[in-house]
Formats: sequence, C-alpha cells, structure tokens
Amino acid sequence: MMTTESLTQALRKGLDPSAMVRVRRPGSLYQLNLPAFHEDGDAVGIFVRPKRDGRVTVTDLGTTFMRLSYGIAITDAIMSQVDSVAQANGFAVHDGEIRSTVDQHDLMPALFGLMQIETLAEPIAHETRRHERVSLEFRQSVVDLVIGVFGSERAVPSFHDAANDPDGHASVDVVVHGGARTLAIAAVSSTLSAETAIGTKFLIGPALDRARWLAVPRDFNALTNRTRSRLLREYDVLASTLAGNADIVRAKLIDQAA
Amino acid sequence: MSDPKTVAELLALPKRGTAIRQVAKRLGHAQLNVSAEAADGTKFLVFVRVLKLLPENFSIGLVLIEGNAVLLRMNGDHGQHGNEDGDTFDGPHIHQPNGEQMALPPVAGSKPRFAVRVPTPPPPSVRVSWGAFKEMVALRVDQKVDHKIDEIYKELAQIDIGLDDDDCDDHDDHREPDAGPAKGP
Repeated sequence: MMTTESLTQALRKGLDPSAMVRVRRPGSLYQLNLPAFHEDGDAVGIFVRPKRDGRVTVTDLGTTFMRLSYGIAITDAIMSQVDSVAQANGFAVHDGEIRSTVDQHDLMPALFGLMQIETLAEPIAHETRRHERVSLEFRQSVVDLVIGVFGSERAVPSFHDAANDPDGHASVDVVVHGGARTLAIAAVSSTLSAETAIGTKFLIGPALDRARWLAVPRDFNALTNRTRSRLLREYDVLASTLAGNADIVRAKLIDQAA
Repeated sequence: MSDPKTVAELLALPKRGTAIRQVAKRLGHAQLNVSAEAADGTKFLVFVRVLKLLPENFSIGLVLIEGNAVLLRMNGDHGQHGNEDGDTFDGPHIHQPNGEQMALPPVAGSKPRFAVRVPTPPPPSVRVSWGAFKEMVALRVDQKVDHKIDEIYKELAQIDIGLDDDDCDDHDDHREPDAGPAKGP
C-alpha cells in the first residue's frame, strides 16, 4: 500500500531531490511539489491517488481547466483539444479532470506526461479560442452579406430541420427561400467547418428538396486537398475567398436564386 | 479626458456586483462569475472557482473588463507558488501587482505573478476568503451572490475524497496487462 514515504522515495529516484510529497488527505490524496511552475508563478498541479488494487491515479484533480476558466470560457472545442493532447500523453479528460491510472512502476513517465499536458493547455486553449472567434466572425459576415442581398424575410440564418432535428444539431448557416430556387449557403472558414458543411448537406438535404448548395470560403486554398475535392463535389463554391470578392459573390447568389 | 486609473485606485473604487452566472458544464470545479460596476461606469468581472475534490483549492479574482487585466487574485491552498525573486512557499496567497505596479494603470491582459502569503492557519475556506476579498476590492454584492458562495461551500464540504474507486480510465480492454501508460509521439 502506498505511503507518503514510499511515494517520496519513488519520486526522488527519478526527480530533482527538491521534489516533495505533501499529504492532502491521509491515505487517499497526495500532492507532489515539483519544480515546475506556470507563468503566474503557481506550481503545476500534480496529485496522486492510490487505488485499492495497488495502482495509482495520477491526476490534475481538475486544476488545469479551473485555471483556464479564469480568463476564457471553456468551450467544447477547448475541452476536445486539451483531451487530444492528454490522450497523446496517456491521459484522458473525465468530468474536467485530466487523469491516468498506472502501475506504481510507471509513475515517473505519468508525472512527466501530466506536466507536459498542463504546460501545453493554456496556449492550446487560447489558440482554439482564437480560431473559434475567427470562425464566428466569418460566419456572421457571410450571413450579413446574404441578408443584405435578399432581406431578412427571405434569408434564414442557422436553418435546421425542425421536424426531425428539433434541437438543431445540424444546421445550415443561412437558407434563402422565396425565389425560383432555395439556396442553402455554408460559410467555410476552415477544413473542419467545410467537413461539417458536407455532413450537414447529407443530414438536411431531404428537408431542403431541390435546394442549391452553395459554399462561401474564407480561403478555399487553405483547406486540405481532400476537403477541397469533397467540397467541390457537394457544393457550388462561389469564390476562392470572400475577401475582395464580395460583389462577385453577391452577383452569383442572385443568379443562383433566379 | 481624465488620466487612466492606477491599479490601487481601481481596487479601492467602490463597486457593486449584481448579475451572476454559473456554468453547468461537467468540469472539476464549481464556477461563479459576478458582473460588477463602479459608479463611474467602470466595469469589472469577479470570478470564483472552487475545486470540487479539494475545496480548499479555490480562486477569487477581480478583472478589469477594459483590457481584460486581472487586478487581484486570492488563492486558497492550491499548492506552491514561486515569486520571481526565488521565494517559494506553500499555502494560501494573494496575487497582486508588486510595489510600483500598483501606482500604474493596469497592463491589458496582465495577470499578476507576484503573490504574498496569507498567514491564516488553518487554511481559509472560500466562504471566509470571500468576505476578505470583498473588503480588499471595495465590493458590495446582492445577498443572492453571498448565498451562492455559501451554497458552493456547503455542497463541496460534504465531498469525501477517499481512495480512487473510479474506473473511468481503466484501459484493460485494449491494453496488454502491465503495459504501462500509452506512449505519446
């Protein structure tokens, strides 16, 4: 069974002699004081919890996401990105806690893995947030352009199939009704949003019978080769990029609706 | 146009906290955000975070909305803190701008690295620290905010973190016995 002494000895074999073990809950929760600090001077949060079968769980106890939440909202995308890094290091995110259960002789690699994850989490979260903001801003610019052409009565943002998908899990960025043809328009800011748009067409296609599926990319050439091919198969791509081509896109929209 | 306020002036500026927002996501901490505003219209955010499995690990912070600068952050006993001068210590502490930085306007996006110890044995709870925090930053809040903090404190005080019986990260179904942790790239 793990004790403070046995855990301290195990640490000192592989780490700096200054590494220390602090008992947070006797017999069930230990905190490791390692010489690893965040930018604000707070130590990286590393905890060890013994299991009944002799293994140990190495965990951040939820401190990583708690720290991130001081400055940004923790979105699903951020959790997913941090989880990807966690998994690459042998960990996983469960209810906001980054953890891994290992045999005691695998304690050291697990500790290093968690230190790595915690160090990477903040830049990853901020980069993910930046991408999300860019995506949202681009989508809004496309929606505004379409409404500008057709008016808010005909152009419906975030269209979903209310009958079969009441929660709107799959939605088209903007649908234009009332012309000779219905237009289903996707704002494509990234490879991810392109693939999402392709999937949306399969899901919502039946609800928008005979619609023309149009894509307005932020930068078509920035998409992966594979995604570019798939997007071209499923959508009419109105321009390689919206920037500098707004008038061309407007003209094509009017043409497509006729 | 008046000169921008210094950190010290912003901390001392009387504020009133009203709207609160809790997030119901599945995270390992309890979370509360309080919008606060001074009489001159200066807007702030107060955040409160409490770790569910170790409630003495909490954080209460005051953020100036314009520029998103953290003016002060009160931490419970989350572990060690190391100041730039090499002073390292365990236990509750307060992050705040150091010395002459208090007499300057806050820098956009800043988070104070310097921290002072809070010598309060036993380590304070979020409930006790909330009262001290409000005084430090001249914050008055609606009673419902105090009640929310109390609710969080009472709920988390009941959690007993015993041995880890959770098998959520057992990977025995796709890993060889004694294989150790999956190696990353």
